[in-house]
Amino acid sequence: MGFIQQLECAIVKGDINRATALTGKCLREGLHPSEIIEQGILRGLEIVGEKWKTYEYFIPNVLVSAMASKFSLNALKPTLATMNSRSAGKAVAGTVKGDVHDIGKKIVLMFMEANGFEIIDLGIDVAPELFVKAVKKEKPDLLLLSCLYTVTMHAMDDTIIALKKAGLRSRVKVLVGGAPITKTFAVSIGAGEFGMDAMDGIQKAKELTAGGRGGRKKYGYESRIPSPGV
Amino acid sequence: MVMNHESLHRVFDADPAEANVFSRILDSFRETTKLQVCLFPLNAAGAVGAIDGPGHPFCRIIRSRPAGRENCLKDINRAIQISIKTGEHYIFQCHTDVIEFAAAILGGGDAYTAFVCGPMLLRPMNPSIEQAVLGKVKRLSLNEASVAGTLREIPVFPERRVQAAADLLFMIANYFSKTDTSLQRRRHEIARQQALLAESLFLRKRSELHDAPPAPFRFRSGSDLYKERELVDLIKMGDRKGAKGLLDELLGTALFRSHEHIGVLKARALEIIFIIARAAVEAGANLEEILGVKYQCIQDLTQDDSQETLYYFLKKAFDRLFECIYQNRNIRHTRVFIRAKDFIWRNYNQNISLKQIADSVDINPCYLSHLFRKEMGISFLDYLTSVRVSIAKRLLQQTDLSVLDVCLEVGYQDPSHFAKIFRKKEGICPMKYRMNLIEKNTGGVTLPAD
Repeated sequence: MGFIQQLECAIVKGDINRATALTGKCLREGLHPSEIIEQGILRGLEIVGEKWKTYEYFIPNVLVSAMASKFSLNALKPTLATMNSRSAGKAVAGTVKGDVHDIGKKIVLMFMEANGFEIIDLGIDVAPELFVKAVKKEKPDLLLLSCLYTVTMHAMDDTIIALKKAGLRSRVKVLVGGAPITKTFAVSIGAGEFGMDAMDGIQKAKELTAGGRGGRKKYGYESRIPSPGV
Repeated sequence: MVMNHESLHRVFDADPAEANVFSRILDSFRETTKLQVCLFPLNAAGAVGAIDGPGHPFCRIIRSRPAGRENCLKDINRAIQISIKTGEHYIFQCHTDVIEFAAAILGGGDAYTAFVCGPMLLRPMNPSIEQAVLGKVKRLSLNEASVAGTLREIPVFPERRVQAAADLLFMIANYFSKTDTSLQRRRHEIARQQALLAESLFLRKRSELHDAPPAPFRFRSGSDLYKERELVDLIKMGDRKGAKGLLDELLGTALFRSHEHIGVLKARALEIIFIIARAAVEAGANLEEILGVKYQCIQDLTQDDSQETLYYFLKKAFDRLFECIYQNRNIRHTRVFIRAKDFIWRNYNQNISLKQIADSVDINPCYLSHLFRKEMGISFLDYLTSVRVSIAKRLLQQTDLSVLDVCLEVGYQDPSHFAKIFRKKEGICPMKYRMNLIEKNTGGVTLPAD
């Protein structure tokens, strides 16, 4: 079994020490960080998600695997930092009003952070006016809206309407995501893009920011290094 | 352990003896698990006002700083809010990345009390974990040696034990609170249904994106009208699983279309219920019983104005209507029938015989035939024909397959025989059936052939 498959197993088992060590081994073997993220960490998390759906895993299992992923990403950070000399952009994120789910959103943000984004997470059940306030204050390149339930999808619409009313819609790109969100829905509410899943979300975030301000260095922002979790 | 009198009073509705037993159980829980349990009264907004008082030394150090206390309160209130919404306990990582769990339990009246249990670590302490936690609390300007010291006192609980401890405490608290847990169960069921709906939408979205049709042919997204007719067919034929899946699709579409207008959604929900009810009567359910279910459903729908509850009531009504079909028929061999029907639905496109089906359910073919006639009111062959014609109608409506392909697809080898059977059941031949549908869809205007 190659190091990357071993890393996948370590993520599934939530073996923090092994995940950290194997990430280093993968890098020394010459693997590209995006390959390590996609084939090691994300694949491991996908298996964890499947196990959770089939009641083989419980929430603590998901939490410990997410921790192992954080440690693995932290081990990648120095290499990623040399590759992304400029900050990829600044993003304000949150789960929309009425919805309290954030495991998926947290995973996307964790990977975006590792990819050089500066993240301001507003948390869960965030009212449209709070998003507007944060966009005014932080002046982000991207606004990330997430939800899990179909019944809370309309809050995304409300948030975008609130942005328009405040005259901020043209100043920020909006990326929406979550299990029930489709491209048609994203277009219908006037969001810029939608993320199919975690990896797609990161990719879309990169695309949206690349076409805009082209990095944050001219504004003097530094990529915030998140502390690893336990 | 934080256990103020107001909290206990609320949970046990002023029964001191019960409060005493509960308090002793919690003490035993703490002794056995070495976990701290705090009980908090919740204010009218469903939140904890303050978290002063004793707790684990690690938590006490963190809460000794205003910012630390504020973060703890924020985490606890968030967890309680989720617990109220989902009707179950919530296991989470706090701002310092240690594990805790919380749950809101209904006390006397509508007042909530919450318990919070923790801290725990999922993995044994090691230097990298220690550094990670110290990094998290760095801006609180605490004495690192003291924090590290208390961190080592936090019990280590593997994943399954955390889950088990949370389940145990939640069950005990609910048992002792003696409140009607139906509201909690309903919330839990609503959360579960919403998660399932989101999951099915996600899978559909993904399969559409990758353009990989699961069936050998790909259905066009049919209009709701077709889906309703198909739903009626499935109910009449007793395909509960298929009908439930189609109901999900209809509800999903309704939710997408009318997410801002609860009134429109309610009207649509009633429409769907009436369609199901009529199909149930046609399938043999007792009319009076069905009227009762319809009446109950109207009452349920007028009670609440949230989409989650609406979805929950609809699913409940669907289950009740389906039960009515079976209750009235008094089928003694439900299992045998379900298996026989399953076999037919899986193999309708093959040349299947009564003997093959009887073998698949391990009963005598003559007896199976007798049961079909007695309990379903039709013969095995009539049932098989109904299934085939129903699938053929669906294919004619929703795909571009030729009549010959449809004929082969549903298990007939001879097109003229298929046409004869179809005419006998539907009154018109397959080609005419399709033409009628096209005319209806285009408002009588014939589409140019391209």
